[in-house]
This record gives sequence, structure tokens and C-alpha cells, in this order.
Amino acid sequence: MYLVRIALRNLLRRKGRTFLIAGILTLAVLLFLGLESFMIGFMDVSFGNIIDFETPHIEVGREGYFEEVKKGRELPLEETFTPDEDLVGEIEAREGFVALTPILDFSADFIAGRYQFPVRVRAIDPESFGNVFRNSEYLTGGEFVESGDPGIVIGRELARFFNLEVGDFYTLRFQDIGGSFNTMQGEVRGIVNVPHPDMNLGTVFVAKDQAQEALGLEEGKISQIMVRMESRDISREEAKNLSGILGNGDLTVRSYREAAEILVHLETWGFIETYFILALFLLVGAIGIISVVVLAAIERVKEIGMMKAMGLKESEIVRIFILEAGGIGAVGGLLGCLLGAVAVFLMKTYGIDMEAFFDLGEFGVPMVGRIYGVWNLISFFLIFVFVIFLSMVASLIPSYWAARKDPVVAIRDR
Amino acid sequence: MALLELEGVKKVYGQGEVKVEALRGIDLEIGVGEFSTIFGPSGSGKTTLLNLIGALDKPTEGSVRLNGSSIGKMNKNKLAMLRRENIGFIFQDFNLIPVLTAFENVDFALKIASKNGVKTGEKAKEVLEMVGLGEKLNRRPRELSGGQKQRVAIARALVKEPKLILADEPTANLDSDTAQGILEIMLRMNKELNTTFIFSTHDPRVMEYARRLLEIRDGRITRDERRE
Repeated sequence: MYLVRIALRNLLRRKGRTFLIAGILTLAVLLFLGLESFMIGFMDVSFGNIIDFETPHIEVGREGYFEEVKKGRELPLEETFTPDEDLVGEIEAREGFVALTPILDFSADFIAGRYQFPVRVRAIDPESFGNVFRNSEYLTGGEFVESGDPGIVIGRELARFFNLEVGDFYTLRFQDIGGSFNTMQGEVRGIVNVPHPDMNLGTVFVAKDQAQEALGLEEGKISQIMVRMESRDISREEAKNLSGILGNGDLTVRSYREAAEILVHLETWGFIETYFILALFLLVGAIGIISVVVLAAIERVKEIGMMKAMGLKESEIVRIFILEAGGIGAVGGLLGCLLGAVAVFLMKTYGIDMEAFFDLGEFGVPMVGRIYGVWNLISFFLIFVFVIFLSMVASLIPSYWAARKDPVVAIRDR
Repeated sequence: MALLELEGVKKVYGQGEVKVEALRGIDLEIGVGEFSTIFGPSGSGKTTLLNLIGALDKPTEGSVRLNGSSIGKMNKNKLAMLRRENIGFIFQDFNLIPVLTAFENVDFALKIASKNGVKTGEKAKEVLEMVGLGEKLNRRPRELSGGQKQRVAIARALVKEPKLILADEPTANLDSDTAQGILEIMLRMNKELNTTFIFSTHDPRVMEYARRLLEIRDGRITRDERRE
């Protein structure tokens, strides 16, 4: 107990030094907790938007189709397929299955007046679409797509671009399955404004029956089956299971993460950046700890000598210095966690308006508006323990250096 | 029976041409309960001899045996354990641990020397009362005078009831009255507890109290005089 008591009281002998190093550690912990909370919140909303508005938990389609999509080419009509009952049955049998809806995506030019703009046309089954996607909940005017109606729903940004309102006329120009150019014409039935920039500008919704006819496709031909699951956690596992069941056929199963490759990369780099910043600050903190122990050892040479004369082993003297370093780490970690909790609370309550800084949509990020922080209590615990551990490890070598001082020399140091 | 036996002890510092022979062959026996003084001019080897007796250092040649155990063959941990259990130190600069109170300084010394489960607090208090510091238990070293600090250092050395107490110029930083008080306390402890005391000093006041005078010059004992 005395070793702990000496170590703790030693912390207050050079308060300025102790709190300077603890302050650096505090900053490291605060930045880490804040950035991590921000990143988790950011990714949570972004993946949520992907799932709710673009690609749900699982999608099933032909491998060739996904390859063309990945290459950024025109969406290939020849890679469409007709789902059979067995396939639908297997999907519905997945654990955590909620709903599915067929989708037929194809490329077209959206034309209104003298202007045209390349879009992805998403031909949907209006009856089941709302069970999987939430786009229809974000109508700002008009109605959503209905079967048998050539009317379309467009995003707010596309409507702004063409200065269109509900009831205005549109033309979609595309190549049908035979390669001939064809058009669809009708009225803008509704305008949506979803928190996913790409869906507001580059995607047009139309009823599947209308699109199949215009594309010259057989009835029932689709490009993907979109599947909503109970949660994200099970979707990757179930996507794998379903993929195993489908075997080596030409259908491929993807989870939302595979569909959102850019976002996954962004997530990886975001967290790497967060850990890099943490590592930088901790490195400065560790160097600070080393300096503190070295300076303390130089200042307390006589004390070390006396302790050795009293019969303390080197390992016990090392323990005092390591406990001191751990104490600095604990102060820094605790202050960092407290300030981090305040920062996360503020971020969770008020959020950060990213639009005030830049347009996330331009970076391919599927979100707009505020990013709200997320509590990750396990991070608070882990970073606190880690900072203490790191401080102790950083002090090891200087502690041994201090403890190995020759008592004969140390005790008579002036 | 001898508590301490030194045979042909030599201590050389440095190497090659810058070799310094601090001790040039010391033969000495000190019995239990002796109150001895090592004196001599500066650089004569007093402190080196005290370091060897206190197991802080090892001889270059010869043997130092404390209670029958030769320190030359011990590793650092064994030497630490030997000091912890058998030797108390008193230095002229007191060398108290500044972050601990008077009581804690004494109790700490006792705790590290005691086996687990031994209640140490009462004994530390008792020894501090014996040296006249019963009222200053909770004072930190910076709140004590030089004499009071040295009394804490004596209490710290005595509390674990070591076989041997080594005092390196214990009165050097004290005024005459305080020095006399300190010496009387040590003499009393020597009589009451039969603890062996060895001082290094060139303070004639200390020599007056000694029962055995050991003079050292140029690394050799040149006088060994016992008094009644």
C-alpha cells in the first residue's frame, strides 16, 4: 500500500508537469472519443440511408449485372432474370427476413424541355416496394408510383435541375432489349426528398409493368430482388448463407456493405484516421511520460538511494515509478473520458451540420444534414484502460533506469 | 559472538592507471551491542567501509560477513533483503521520504521489513514517542526541524529492530544541543535494545559517546581502542 501511496503523492510534487502530460493524454482521449462517436454516427446514418433508399440489407441478382454496375457501365438488360418460387421461398426462409421486392433498374436519359440528364430508372412493384424501402415516406408533393400508370416519381434535385413540378411532362429515352431506342412519356406523379443525395438527383421511379413493356422484356423479368431483414447484424451472415444455398448458379447475393463499397472504404479510412490521430497524441503523451519519469528519477536520486538502503528491491522501486505513470494516465484518461462524454452528449443532442462545411453528396456520401454522435461506452472503458496501460508501458525503461542506480552513488548525490 | 566480520577487505575504484584504493586490507570484528565509531580524515575510507558493512557495496577483495552470511556472494535482491531485515541506516542528510509523514516514514520501514499480517502502526507510534516525536506524527519532513528529522530517521532505523544500525555522520548537520540529544537517544536505544551501532564521524562529540574507537587512515585501521 505504501508503494501506491508514495506513487500517488509523488504525482502532486510536480503538479504542472503531471497535469501537462495528463492534459496531452486528455486531449488524445477526447479527440478519439469525439471522432469515433462522430464516425459511428456518420456511418450509421450513411449505411441506414443506403439500406432505406438504395440497396437494402440483401440483394440478389446476376453476377454479370453487378459486374457491369461496378464498372459504371449502362445497366445491362440482358442480365435480367425471372425469379422462381424456390428462390423466393429460400429468401423468405432466412432468419430475420422481413420483406422482399423485385426491382428492374435500367439506364436512360431523362428529358424535359430542351435538356437531358442520364439517370438510373428504378422500375418497382408498387405493392411491395414500401415494405422494403422508405422512399415513399419522403414525398414532398404528389403521389408515389402506381401500377398501370406511366407517371414517375423523381427526386427533388432532379426536379430543381429541370424546374419541374408535379403534373409536368417528362420523357425517358432508353434502349430496349433489342437495342432499339424507345421512350416513355407521362407526367411527374410525385417528388421525393430523401436524405440520400444520389437518390434525389440520379434516380427515377416508375411502375415495373410500364417499364417491362417499354423495354420489351418478358413479364416478370427483373434485375434484382431486394430483401429487408430485421437488422444489419444478421444480414451479412444470412447473405452468406443464401449464397451458399444458391450454389454456383449465375445468381449472386450481396449484402448492403458489398453494395456500398465506397462507403465501406470511407469507413475504413475514417477509422484509420481516427486511430492515427489517437496514436499521434498518445505518442506525444508517451514521450511526455518518459520525460516525467526520467526527470523524477534525476530529482529523486537520493530518495531512490535511501529506499535501496532501506532494503527495497529494484522491482519495488520500478513499481513506484510505473504506478506514478499509471496515475498520470488515469488522470488523463479520466479527464478525457469526462470531456469526451460531454462532447458525445452535445454531438448526440445537437449534431453537427455537415452541410455548413461542404456538400457530402459531392463525395458520394449517401447523407445530408446533421450527423449525430453515438454513445459507445465500451470505447470509454477501453480507451481509459489503454491510456493507463500505455503510460505504464512507456515508463518501463526509464523506471528500470532509475531503479538500477547504484545506491552508494545515489545516496550521496547532491 | 561477532555480528560483523571483515577479513582482508580491499576496495578499489576505477581501472588501469586511475585506480583508487579506498580500502587496503581491513580486518575487523564487531560484536552484538557494540557502540562504535569509525573516524578519520576526509578520504580515509570511512564511508567506503560503512557502505561495505551496510551491504550497499561489495568488496573487491576479502570477505564481509554479517551474522555469518558473506555479502560478496549475494545478488542484488539478496542484498536488499539482508538490508531490509538486518540493517538500519541514519544519514547526515536524514533522507526521509518527503511525501510521507513522520509516522508513515517509520511505518513504511517497518512494513517492508515485516512479514504479512503483522500490525505495524502501533509500533511505529511507540518508537516515535520514544524519540520524543509523539506529537509530530502527522508532520511531513518539510514541517520538521533538522533535529526532528534526524529523530524520525533514528526511529525509522530502529523500528524494525535491526541487528545493526549504521550512522554516517549523523550529527554533521545539527547544532550542539540537538546533536547531544540525538546521541543520547541512540545510546539509550543501544542499552535498552542491545542494538549494535556503528558511526562514521569526525565530530569529537560523537567520539565521546563511543565505547569503541576505530581510526582509519589511507584505507587501513590504524587504531582500535575500547572504552569502558
